[in-house]
Amino acid sequence: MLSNLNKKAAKTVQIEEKQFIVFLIGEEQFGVDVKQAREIITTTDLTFVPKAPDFVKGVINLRGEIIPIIDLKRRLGLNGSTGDVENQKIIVVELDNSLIGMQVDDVKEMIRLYKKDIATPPKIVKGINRDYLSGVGKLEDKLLILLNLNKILSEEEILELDRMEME
Amino acid sequence: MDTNSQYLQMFFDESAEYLQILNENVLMLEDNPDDEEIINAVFRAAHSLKGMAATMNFSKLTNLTHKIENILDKVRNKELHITEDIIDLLFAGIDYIKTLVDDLKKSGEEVTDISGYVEKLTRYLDGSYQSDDNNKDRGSQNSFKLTEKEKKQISLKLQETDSVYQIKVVLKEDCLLKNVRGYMVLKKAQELGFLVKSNPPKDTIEDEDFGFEIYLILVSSLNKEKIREELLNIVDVEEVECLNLDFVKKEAKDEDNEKTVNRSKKNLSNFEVSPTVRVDIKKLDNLMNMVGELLINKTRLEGLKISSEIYQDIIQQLDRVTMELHHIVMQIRMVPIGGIFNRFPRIVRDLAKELGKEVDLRIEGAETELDRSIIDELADPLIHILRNAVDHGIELPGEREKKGKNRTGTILLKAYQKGSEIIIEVEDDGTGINVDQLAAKAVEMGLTTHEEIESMDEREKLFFIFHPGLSTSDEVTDISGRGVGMDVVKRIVESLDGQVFIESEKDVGTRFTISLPLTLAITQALMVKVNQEIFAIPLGAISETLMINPDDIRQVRGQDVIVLRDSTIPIVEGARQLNLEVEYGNFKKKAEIPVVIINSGERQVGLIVDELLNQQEIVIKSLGNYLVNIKNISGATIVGDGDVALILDVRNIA
Repeated sequence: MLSNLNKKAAKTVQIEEKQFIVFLIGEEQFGVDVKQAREIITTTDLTFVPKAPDFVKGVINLRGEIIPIIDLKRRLGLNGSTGDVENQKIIVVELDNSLIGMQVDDVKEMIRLYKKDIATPPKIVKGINRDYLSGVGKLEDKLLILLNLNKILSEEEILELDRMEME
Repeated sequence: MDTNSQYLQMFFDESAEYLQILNENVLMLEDNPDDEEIINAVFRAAHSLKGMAATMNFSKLTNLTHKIENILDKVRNKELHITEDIIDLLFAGIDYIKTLVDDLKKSGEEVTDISGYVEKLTRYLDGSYQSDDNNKDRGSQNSFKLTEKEKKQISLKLQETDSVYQIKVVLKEDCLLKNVRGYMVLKKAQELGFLVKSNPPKDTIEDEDFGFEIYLILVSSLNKEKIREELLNIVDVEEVECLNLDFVKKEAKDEDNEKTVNRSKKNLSNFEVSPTVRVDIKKLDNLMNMVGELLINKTRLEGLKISSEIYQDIIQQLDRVTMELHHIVMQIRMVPIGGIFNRFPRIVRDLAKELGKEVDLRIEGAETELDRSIIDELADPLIHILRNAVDHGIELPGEREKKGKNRTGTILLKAYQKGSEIIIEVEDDGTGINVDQLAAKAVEMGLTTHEEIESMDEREKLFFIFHPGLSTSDEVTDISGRGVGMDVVKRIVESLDGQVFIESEKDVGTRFTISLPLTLAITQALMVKVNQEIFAIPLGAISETLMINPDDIRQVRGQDVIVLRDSTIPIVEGARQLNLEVEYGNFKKKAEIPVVIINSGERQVGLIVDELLNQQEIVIKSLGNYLVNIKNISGATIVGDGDVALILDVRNIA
């Protein structure tokens, strides 16, 4: 039956396909699972927090809620020129019931990736530790680095970093 | 409200809740007699009620619930099977509990006689009970008890001239159509007055399921003889006995009076129950958040500074309303601290006994109110301090006598409000903390050096007690079983935005002082500018603000100080405290330097800022899990223009 066929097709697509937001840090393309993202906002005035870890740019007021903004480039320890400040965006993600904003250089597009096109990451990709990656997506012309936000933005991880910096 | 009535209020609230649980579950039990979960639920409720009643010294209620609990225990252990009888028995018991509780509300005493019912329960427990209550009742003179509802009915019907009668109607043994005769008796009785109750009830009579006697309670204006005559006229009625039940009338009247002259009742009973609603604390939190949002927007409106009379008027009105609203919400969240204090006398008593000490715990200010969320957190730290006081503070009686002290040690637990803060003090007259020993231990643990100790004052040395590992080392008694050390006390109190101080003198005693904000959510703050950023300093921490000249600044041991009214106060630069990346020391070039004098414990510190802005109400928001433990920043707030301002944690400054 046709209806059954459609259902089946829909199901397979659901399993095999994931959507990602593609953004830029420097020249490099990164992807983050769209399910983790709440919204994308343009960079607003932020309040600097003294004595916070250096990758915390500050805090902003997002409709009455105060959320920290992470400089993703700093967090990942990437070098490279900052893109046009005009294009900078903040991707607001939800982790463990709290909101965190990630500042990126630009947001490009939304793409779909089939599961088969996502490979496990090699040990180090472009200077980023494998722990911070959830995979590498194969695009037609280049690679898309998929980030593991749970790891990058987890409290334990940040506390750990804090301690290291203090020593 | 005195303390006793406050406990009563709690007792009434909770007993109402347990009665509800009992009623619901016994009802369910009727349909599912084998469901152990329900039996357990009933058992627990009965048990809790018993505990509460025993605490309040309500002997009848305790006895009653105890018996009911025993029955349930038998059911639970499968020694007794749930039958209709037991269900009835339980319901009757619940009603008696209710009656007793109502008695207590009305008069403060357990008036209702429950001995009959308790006896019945006892017989059931002994296994000798047979379902013979009906027969027994028929035989006895006082054949039926009146429920509250029936008493009410009587009081409603009762005129001044009326009497309440208990009538016994005996039918002839050879009477045919007993049901019809019985029905006629009831009908006649209804004509003669107001028929409150009959035993057996009407349905039973119609089913012909009764002996030859019918008991009636009748309210009538007629006299005994007349009623007797009228009833004897019915065919097959053999005998009619009429008893005047004046006590019922009196009771009913009393109740009537109580209702009409409610005010006068107040003098008789020492307690009046005000209706209360229990609300999930989360809903109150949400309400508080919303009030916070409102405040933020109000501040934004104020910031518009439109020069119009109507605008000014509206702002003023809005200001008043939001203030009031804030006040009310805070009030709702406030509970008397006595709620946690009441557990302490027992704890102290038990511990003192265990250690062979004599301790008198005095509690003052139990009625002091604090935000609910703060109170919940406070119990453990306070218990810890109290245990410490008994364990390490108060000496053994013999030792105390040698020192010339009273054998019995005293611990004073005191709560009071001071400005926008609540102060809780725990003071003992014991041996005091051995400061040098404490310092020596700190050195031993590598926390500090001998040289540093030399230059420390008593206060600083005492503070070592809050260091993790140090305080607990000789306190392995683990009497608490909670493993709460003094460091945890400090941490909890600080997480509540409060502070702990210690004072101690050898052989005089030790005093712990905990200061806490009234509420966590909204507070008054001074807004200051440091390096172009706006920061909020909670007003509670500020003693004053002033402008100084660079000439006022002196140097003491390399530290900048100012002299304010004969006391020397160290001053520190805000930007430096916050590690801001600017050039320090610029303030000395200014003609006038704004300084905020901050109370940091017993000391005062002057904080140099760039500019003093204004004082305003701020809504305290957390920086989120992500930015906890940022030094010198305790949270953030949203200011008028929607920007975020950080709240300075000035307690540890300098």
